[in-house]
Amino acid sequence: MSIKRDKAQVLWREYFPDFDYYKPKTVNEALELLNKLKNDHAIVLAGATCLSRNFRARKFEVKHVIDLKGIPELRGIKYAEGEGLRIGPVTTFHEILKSEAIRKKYTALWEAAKQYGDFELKFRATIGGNIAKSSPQNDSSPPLLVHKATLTLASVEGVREVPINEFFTGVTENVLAPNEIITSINVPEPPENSRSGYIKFRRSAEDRAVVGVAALVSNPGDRSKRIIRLAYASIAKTPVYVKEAEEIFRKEGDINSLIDEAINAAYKYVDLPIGHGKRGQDLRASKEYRMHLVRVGTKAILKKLIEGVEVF
Amino acid sequence: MKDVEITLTVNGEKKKVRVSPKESLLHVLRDKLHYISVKANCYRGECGICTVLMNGFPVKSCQVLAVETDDADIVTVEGLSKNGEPSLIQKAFIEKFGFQCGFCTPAFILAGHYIVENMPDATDEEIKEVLNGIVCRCTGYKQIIDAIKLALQWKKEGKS
Ligand SMILES: Cc1cc2nc3c(=O)[nH]c(=O)nc-3n(C[C@H](O)[C@H](O)[C@H](O)COP(=O)(O)OP(=O)(O)OC[C@H]3O[C@@H](n4cnc5c(N)ncnc54)[C@H](O)[C@@H]3O)c2cc1C
Repeated sequence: MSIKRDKAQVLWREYFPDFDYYKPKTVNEALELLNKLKNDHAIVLAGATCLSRNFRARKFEVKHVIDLKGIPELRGIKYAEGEGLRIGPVTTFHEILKSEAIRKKYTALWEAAKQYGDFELKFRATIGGNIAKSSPQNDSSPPLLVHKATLTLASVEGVREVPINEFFTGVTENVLAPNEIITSINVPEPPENSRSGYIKFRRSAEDRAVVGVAALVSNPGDRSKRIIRLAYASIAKTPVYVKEAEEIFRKEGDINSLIDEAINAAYKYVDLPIGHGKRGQDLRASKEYRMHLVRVGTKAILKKLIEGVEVF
Repeated sequence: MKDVEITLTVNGEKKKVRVSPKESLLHVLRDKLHYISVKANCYRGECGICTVLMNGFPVKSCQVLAVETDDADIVTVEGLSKNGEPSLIQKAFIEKFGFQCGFCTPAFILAGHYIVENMPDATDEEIKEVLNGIVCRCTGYKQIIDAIKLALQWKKEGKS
């Protein structure tokens, strides 16, 4: 018996839509192009790990694809003591993992890169694409939130700097204008004596976070100097920074009860489902289980950063 | 829309191909240049079966636009053997029976080749990490990992 394959279906899966491809060499050239084509279904491309899927699924119409990978200014990692870190958006997770400065000073981001996707995806996927995709599940967001990063956004009209906490507006939605791109990720020098970390709960290597928890801790034993920050992936419509935690950890009292209080503050942000439509229901975890992971994850990461005890 | 002519190196040979932006590297390698060791499966970057080495790194070729690969250096399993003699990693796969149905084998061999060339002291954990994006539906992972370990050992012993 021969099995007849539906030709249309095969082609639909194999081919990307019919678009024009551009590979500008400078940021200005890219911005000019994007501005000219912005009303004609233009989109910028980085590692294509996310876009190649959207293209095949015909998620949206696309006529012009502007590849940012040919622009050297958008790549690379620069760290200067006292000044902080600057990451080009077209830097891959593989490159982030190779950075000693990120491993030592921005450990949460390094651990997120380590736990991002699978081994092969790390060579292609970029941090800018991760942020711009603005999925609440994204691994780079919680670390950037606890490190109070800002994003430089540029268009032909000019440049602006937006704190990452104000960048995300909804599920895969953000403040980027149609003619705007991310040109830099800026992370200030971490507070003195601080450490940060990221824990990701997932089912398999390439899985998105069921829940992700990032924390930054400085001087936990000295209340007057203590700084503790918490951020989460996959618990609401956007990545979540728990602002209240900053205040909670400045209060007097036993650290464990303060941690409980901070977890209760995080619970208030839980807002499911975290996606659109059928798939957006994200059936990987119930609300109860997600809240359980928030509790377990927060305690584990703080135990590690405060006492140096690895729970997982 | 507009077709473009690109030049890419596949297994050391320079190839000129006309490609359309709607084609993936997977499509061009398999259907235009006939490197049929590169298998097509999920088209979603999830299964890893279409893995090739691009500029030295393992990537999923279904997620790479063909037009991006102008000047790229690609290696497929066809490029591993020299004059009909299988490479170290291929011999180790045979020795340890690192395959069952064979569908995922080219991808695992390339990942193994990457380990042998770049990570001489890889631990079991590190080997597993490199393989974590490739799926073997026969679930013969143990034999695959054993084969890679054997190839590493052979390499240390100076076998070729
Ligand atoms: C199998 C699989 C597993 C995955 N696992 C994970 C995971 O574990 N964790 C995780 O967080 N994500 C995961 N992802 C999602 C995806 O890989 C990441 O979000 C990745 O970082 C996207 O980066 P990219 O460079 O591939 O982006 P692209 O696909 O090229 O682009 C993504 C979006 O960002 C826009 N964009 C890119 N660069 C810029 C820029 N500089 N300025 C403005 N807009 C820009 C594009 O227009 C597009 O809308 C996974 C994806 C796949 C296919």
